[in-house]
Amino acid sequence: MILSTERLILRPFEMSDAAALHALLQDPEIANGVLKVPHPYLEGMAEEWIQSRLSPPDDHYNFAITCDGLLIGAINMWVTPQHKRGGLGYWIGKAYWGQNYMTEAVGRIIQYGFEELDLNRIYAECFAFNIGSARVMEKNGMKREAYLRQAVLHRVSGELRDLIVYGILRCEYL
Amino acid sequence: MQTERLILRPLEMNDVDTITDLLQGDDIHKNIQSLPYPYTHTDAENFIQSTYEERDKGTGYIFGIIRREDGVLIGVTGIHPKASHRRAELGYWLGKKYWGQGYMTEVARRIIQYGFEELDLNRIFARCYTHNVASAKVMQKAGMSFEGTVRQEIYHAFSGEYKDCHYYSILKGEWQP
Repeated sequence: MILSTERLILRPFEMSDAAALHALLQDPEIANGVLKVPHPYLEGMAEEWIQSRLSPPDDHYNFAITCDGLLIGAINMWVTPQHKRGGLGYWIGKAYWGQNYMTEAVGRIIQYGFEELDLNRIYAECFAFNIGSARVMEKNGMKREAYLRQAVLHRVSGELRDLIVYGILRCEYL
Repeated sequence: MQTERLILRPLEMNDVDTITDLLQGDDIHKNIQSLPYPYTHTDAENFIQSTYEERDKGTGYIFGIIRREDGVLIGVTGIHPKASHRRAELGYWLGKKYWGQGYMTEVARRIIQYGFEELDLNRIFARCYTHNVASAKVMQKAGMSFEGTVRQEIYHAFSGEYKDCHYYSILKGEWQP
């Protein structure tokens, strides 16, 4: 599955992305902003993670975000078919922040979820301090729905962190 | 576990008839996501068996709610930990004839105590459909705080509708025994 936007191509990860992925995830700010990226990001982790994504479970959609052929980030959506619901997760390399790349990628996945996967609801959660991530969701028409206190343990920092839930419904999108 | 008027104990296979009886009619199914409908004895047997498996795995601690005065099972409650985040979800239902007497608030307070004291949790949360005012009141009376409304989170097969869910939670740091 390959999806494109004005500036980006979203495509499956390949083992040849390992070096670029390793380089992007050296930045501690990525691991600080998301739940599941380890830090320090050691040799071999990129290969192991890509390997795990090469044959994802059903209802799990993973994309490498590329711009002019360069890997700049990642986005995934896991679908709960029973509730026709998709949950998004994403990160983008720090050198590419502030240029609306992530907004573009999230917008394309939302379109894919509603138009191709027939979802009813798409949501995402960000740490309460992660204003950049919240803005990405707001710019895509997602609405702030809940503030979940100390909802997750962020392993890298050892902190219990608050999450903000954003969602968009099929009836709002179409 | 005991409260002023109730005992909470693991479910037993001889609870099958009572649980099945309590889950006839629509009233509980309207408010709960995942119960089979119509609800049969086999469903109750499978459910009770599943509570033993959840207990062994540490993913759920489920209790029958027993009235002390007559020993009757009046409902079911459970707490479902996600150990990696030190949080758990609280769930419950009560037979309709036992509604409106404060039983569920008594249960929720006791389970919250169990979660913080015995399961080493940091956060206990609960969800209810937005139409279920009585359940939201139980959460409030148990000391939980409103966190928001997640829209159309659940497809409720019984009604054929997508349901909005209110979220409530209590943190260990704000809990008062």
